[in-house]
Amino acid sequence: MQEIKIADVIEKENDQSIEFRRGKVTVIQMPVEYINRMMKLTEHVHSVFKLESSVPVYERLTVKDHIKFYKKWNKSTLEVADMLNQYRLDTVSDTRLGKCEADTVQRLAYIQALMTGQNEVLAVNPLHNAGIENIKFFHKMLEHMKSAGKALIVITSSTEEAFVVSSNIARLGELGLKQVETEISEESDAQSSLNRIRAKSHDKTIFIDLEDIEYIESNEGKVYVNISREKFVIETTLAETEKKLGSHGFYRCHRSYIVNLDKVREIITWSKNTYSIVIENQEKTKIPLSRTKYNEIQKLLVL
Amino acid sequence: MNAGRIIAIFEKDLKEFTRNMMLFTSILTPIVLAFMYGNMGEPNEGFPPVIISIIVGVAFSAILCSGIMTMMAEENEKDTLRGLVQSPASMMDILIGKSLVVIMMTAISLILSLIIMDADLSWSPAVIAAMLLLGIFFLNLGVAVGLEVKSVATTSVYMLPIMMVFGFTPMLEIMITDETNIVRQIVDYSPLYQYVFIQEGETTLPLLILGGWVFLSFVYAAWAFKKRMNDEGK
Repeated sequence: MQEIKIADVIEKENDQSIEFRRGKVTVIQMPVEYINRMMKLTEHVHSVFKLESSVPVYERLTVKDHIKFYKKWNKSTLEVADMLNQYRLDTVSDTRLGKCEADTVQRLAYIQALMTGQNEVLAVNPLHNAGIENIKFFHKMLEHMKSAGKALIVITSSTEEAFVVSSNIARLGELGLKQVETEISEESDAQSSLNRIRAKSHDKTIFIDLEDIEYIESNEGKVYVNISREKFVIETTLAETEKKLGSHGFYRCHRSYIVNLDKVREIITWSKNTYSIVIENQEKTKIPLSRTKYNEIQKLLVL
Repeated sequence: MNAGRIIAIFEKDLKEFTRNMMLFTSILTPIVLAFMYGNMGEPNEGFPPVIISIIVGVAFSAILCSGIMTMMAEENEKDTLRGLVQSPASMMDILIGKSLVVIMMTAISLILSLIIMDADLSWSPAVIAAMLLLGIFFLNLGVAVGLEVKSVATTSVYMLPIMMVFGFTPMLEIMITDETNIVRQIVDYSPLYQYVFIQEGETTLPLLILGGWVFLSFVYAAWAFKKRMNDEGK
């Protein structure tokens, strides 16, 4: 399978297609229904390996047994000891999978995808439930795959997750595949002195204290304010919001995101061009940070 | 067919087999039975072929047939073959690898049982042929059911009748004493009884009937394989 026709996925007329390109990683954000359809389309295509956030395992076998088995089955040239070492599985190498944590199983899924003989890999929500460690290992796997000349397509339902994989992502919607812009064109100048903003929740209008806001995102033409697990729509554009809030400790860290600098917990560097901001909240939400903003935000965050 | 893959599956399943208590204890069943029968009856009298055939029947049905059935069922239940099966050939590799594991385990258990019973069998070519044919019959049965079932729990639904009808056939002799009974007449055509007859000296007809059973089991296994491959996709 060289490509997947988009017309088959969105079931509308379209002449675009998603290509498996050797040594390349393509990241596409799409709604769950399209992901399911992609899964259906590739279900019986044996040339495509499917990588998911977890992998079914033999509970009675140890981690090492698994990697050995993958190696033998696929005649992989990768070394078992090397894999255990690179993916930090040394400490659990002799533990049976039945007793292993979910993140160990997830790393095994990454290793299986690396060792498989198929050269086309379709990763479906591969970072679902992934901790920070495993996101790093996923990036390591991407590098391994690229250098091995494998073609990888990552599809995910969450924009944040897509940006964790790459700074260059596409979005699949009803109108087809579109590249997501990340560079900000408008310039901003700060003014105004509001302490609250107005948002809509069903038929009520609510006022949100600026200090409660974690971040503001724009998604499919709507602007959402995120406050501890809740989202509210505000009826302005992101550019306008940025103008208003710029002087109140908010920062446009990405084309579709404004972050409250007070809520920034840490900045993670996934790879040379991929950065995330971790928000100080229960879920430790990761929002994307543009490459060009990396230095600027660091200056703003310290005295 | 791919020798590397067969070995990979063989090694993996050998580990799984020895770590799965349910499968591993099945090896003990014929051995325990052999101990029991070994202590029964007069010493130095030798065993009637029927007793030996019970041991053989138990070993084949409880280890060979149930072993491969359970292993396949577990793969189906946990969906662990998803990333591995890419063609009918790789499914064949998996089946061969697994079969080798259960064949080895059955052989170990059967040999131990026969040693324990101290049975002096006449290893004529006909007896060896009957043993092999019987093994193939039970293996095919196990493979066919293993390809079909979706979970380990369902295997017992198949396992019980197979054990009762094909594994413990000679037990009927103890339950139904009247030789003219219709059940006894039918049972005379069962695969395990053919082995008894061959052990007793007959050859041609029992071997032919056994061959017929093996043929039927091949048809069943082939049908199950084809059905499974159709489900897996083109």
